[in-house]
Amino acid sequence: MSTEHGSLSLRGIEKSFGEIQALRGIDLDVSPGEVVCIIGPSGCGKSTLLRTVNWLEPPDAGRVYINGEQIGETVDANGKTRPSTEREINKFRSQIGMLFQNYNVWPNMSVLENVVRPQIVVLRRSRAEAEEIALPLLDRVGLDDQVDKWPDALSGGQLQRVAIARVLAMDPIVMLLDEPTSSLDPELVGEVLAVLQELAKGGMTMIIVSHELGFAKSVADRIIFMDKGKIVEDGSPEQILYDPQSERLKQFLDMLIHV
Amino acid sequence: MDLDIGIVIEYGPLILKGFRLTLIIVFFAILLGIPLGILMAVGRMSSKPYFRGPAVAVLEIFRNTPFMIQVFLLYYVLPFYGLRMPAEVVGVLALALYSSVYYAEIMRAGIAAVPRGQVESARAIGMSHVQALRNVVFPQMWPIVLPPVANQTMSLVKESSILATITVSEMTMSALIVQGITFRPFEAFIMITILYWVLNESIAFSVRRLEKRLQRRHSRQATTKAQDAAMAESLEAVRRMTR
Repeated sequence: MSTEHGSLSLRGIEKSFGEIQALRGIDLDVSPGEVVCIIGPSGCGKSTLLRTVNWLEPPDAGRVYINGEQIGETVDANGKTRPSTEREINKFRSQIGMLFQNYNVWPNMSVLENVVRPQIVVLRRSRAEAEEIALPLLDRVGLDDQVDKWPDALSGGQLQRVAIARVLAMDPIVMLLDEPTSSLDPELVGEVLAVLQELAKGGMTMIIVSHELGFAKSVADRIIFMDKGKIVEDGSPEQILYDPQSERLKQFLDMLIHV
Repeated sequence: MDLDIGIVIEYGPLILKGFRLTLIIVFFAILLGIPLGILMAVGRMSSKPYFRGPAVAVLEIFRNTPFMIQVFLLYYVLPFYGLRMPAEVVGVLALALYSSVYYAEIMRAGIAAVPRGQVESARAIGMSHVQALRNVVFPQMWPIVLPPVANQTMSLVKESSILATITVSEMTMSALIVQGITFRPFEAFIMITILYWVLNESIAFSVRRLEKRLQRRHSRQATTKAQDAAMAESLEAVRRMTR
């Protein structure tokens, strides 16, 4: 298991919701700067997997490591492990940037405030410092002329870019993206993908749940195919998309192509 | 029965004194009741039993018993346990507790109306539960809960008249006194009826203004060119029809 900055490891992650076993033992190692796309039929557990990584859904079993540090359990001074406190989990979460399908930009604050507020509240930065960080980031995602607007006035693509700037302002170690483009109008997908592509090139470790096979092919170093709570195939985009081994993956790709 | 203006002039100041006390009691009851309601709403929605338990208990007790009995319990029964408070203080506490239960239900609905994803993105970025509530949930909840909160506040004003039964010399009590002295219930009660109306109407009026301001801000944000065009079109249609 890597302890390098930007590395992420999952060991034996299990999660059930009542009778339904969403994740049945997931092992995954992501190296620093690697971009991993997770694909799979709906209900296969791919979103749940992302949500267990940052403890939005604490796993029933298994371990999550970021930079080799374990989330959810902490080793204290006597070398004993104990469950992490709320505060420790919050700190971990702030280092894991998560993007959502529905952007979840906060409508009760301006675009700039969306990027500034979490820095002030979570990282205890001063407002001046937070703005100094926020403005170049908003510029980078192409929203320098929208900073004073309210979220209601923005398009979906712009909102997702606000969410990206908001997450980047926290200096995340890794990013988790839960179908970041699937609620966008087709003509707006491109602008978000361009920003994500640039991030990938910049060496950000990313795990992306996506149905954009084209995007997966162009940015992902690796594609993982999940089915029924398990990783079925794991390989390069070429391997997964052009040379599927399992029957399930073949069916899945067929279905996507025919849709 | 004709209105005897002499009685209004002579006993008006006494009624106004009662009005003042009603204002003070209502003010503090709101000041205490709304935060208490928020606390109970959050407590009730908490997954931790030591928060939820007490919140649910208070809600159950105060929602299912008559307000007058609650007042009596606080005023006549608590002294047996060594807790004797002035009637005015009991009045504020009773009104605050009683209303907080309803405020709590309103806040709970308001919190639930804020989309789950809003809280999740706040938690995912590292905010604690309380930080997420303060920065993301509460600001989005206010416009939703404002009208029902106003309703509940107006009902609090009306319930305050029950405090006359424990000797609080608020407005209803002062009317009872005037009636006792003059044997003229008409003047006494018409005066306080008008004053209760004035008080509640001012609450309703200020809340309507506040609501409009919130709406204006939101609609300014939300209004797109397409909506403007649609609006212009429908106005034009109305004009054509009325011509």
